[in-house]
Amino acid sequence: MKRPPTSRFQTAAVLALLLVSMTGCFRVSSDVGALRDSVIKSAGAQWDQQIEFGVGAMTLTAARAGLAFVDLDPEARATLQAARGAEVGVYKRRGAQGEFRGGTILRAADQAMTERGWDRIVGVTNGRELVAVYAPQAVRSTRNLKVCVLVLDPQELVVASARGNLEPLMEIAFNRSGRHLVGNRE
Amino acid sequence: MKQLICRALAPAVTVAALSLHVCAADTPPGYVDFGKFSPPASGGEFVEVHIKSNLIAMMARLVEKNEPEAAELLRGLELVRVNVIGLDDENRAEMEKRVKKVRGELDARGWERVVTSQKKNEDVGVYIKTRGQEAVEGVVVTVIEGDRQAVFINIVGDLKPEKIAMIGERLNIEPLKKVGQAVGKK
Repeated sequence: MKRPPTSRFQTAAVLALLLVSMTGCFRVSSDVGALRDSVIKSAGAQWDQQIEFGVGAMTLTAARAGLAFVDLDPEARATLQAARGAEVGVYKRRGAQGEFRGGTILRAADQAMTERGWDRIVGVTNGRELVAVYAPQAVRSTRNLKVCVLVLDPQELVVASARGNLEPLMEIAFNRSGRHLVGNRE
Repeated sequence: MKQLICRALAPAVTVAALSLHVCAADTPPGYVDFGKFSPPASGGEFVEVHIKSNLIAMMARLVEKNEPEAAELLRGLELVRVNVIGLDDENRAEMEKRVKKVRGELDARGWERVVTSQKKNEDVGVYIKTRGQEAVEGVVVTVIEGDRQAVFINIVGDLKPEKIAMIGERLNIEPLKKVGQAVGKK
């Protein structure tokens, strides 16, 4: 029995939607996009996109499956297991450097992120460099935490986010610090 | 007409008054509002860390297994705010004024000044807000380091006095290590 074209179109649309949401569609999410836009607007400069990349749960699962056959360092494998999604955008400044307005950029980024339910937990500016880290206002679980990061220097703007399970990462950190302590004692 | 305006304004004023009351009731006793800071125009150092209870609680859960003592300490914290502002000709006077204002307000609100240190160009003041003998509800550290930087720190929570030095050690806040000694002597 032949399926009507409307039904096929609907199936394709649903599959495409699912694929986009699961793979990350190799683009940055709206939160990271809003962070980028706020900086581009407030920094008063022209930026050229160098790379914009996002991977979702499905892409990472595929990567994990592929790497199952590769002899990988256990810590690297654990880190990959902990990751649920990641995205990054890198933009290069076009033209001459203007005045660096760290306060204005931070305020604009804060406003954009606060409206979307994020809190800035760290902000650092030094000279013409700026780093800001945002975490969701409602953090519920250590197993699925997302953070957004903004790094700005005279040449480049980097916006990134990572979502993952912090517990195995903390385990690795403790193991490493324990090893260092033992090493120091020896 | 006047009656109409009064009728329209009365509920708004009542709601505003109630929300102010709620805000005041919600603010923990150890919280101190330093106001907003902006990066120095000259491009000097500017660091802002603002970690709220939800993230602190999450960190406590994360370190519980490997560092139970640190987890217990974190569970007592509600807020950690650190501001480091590089000083230049434009903001030096304002920052000195701000430090004086904060210290004056703390004195007026009955906070206890536990550390005063003035040597060379460094002026350090550490205040604590206690609840009876058993708990510290807030710690404020203000530092003016010559022409270099101004530091404002506020730690809010329900802390055991003997644990304050440990917070200083863990967060690497030098004056808090001294507070631990000062409180321990009392």
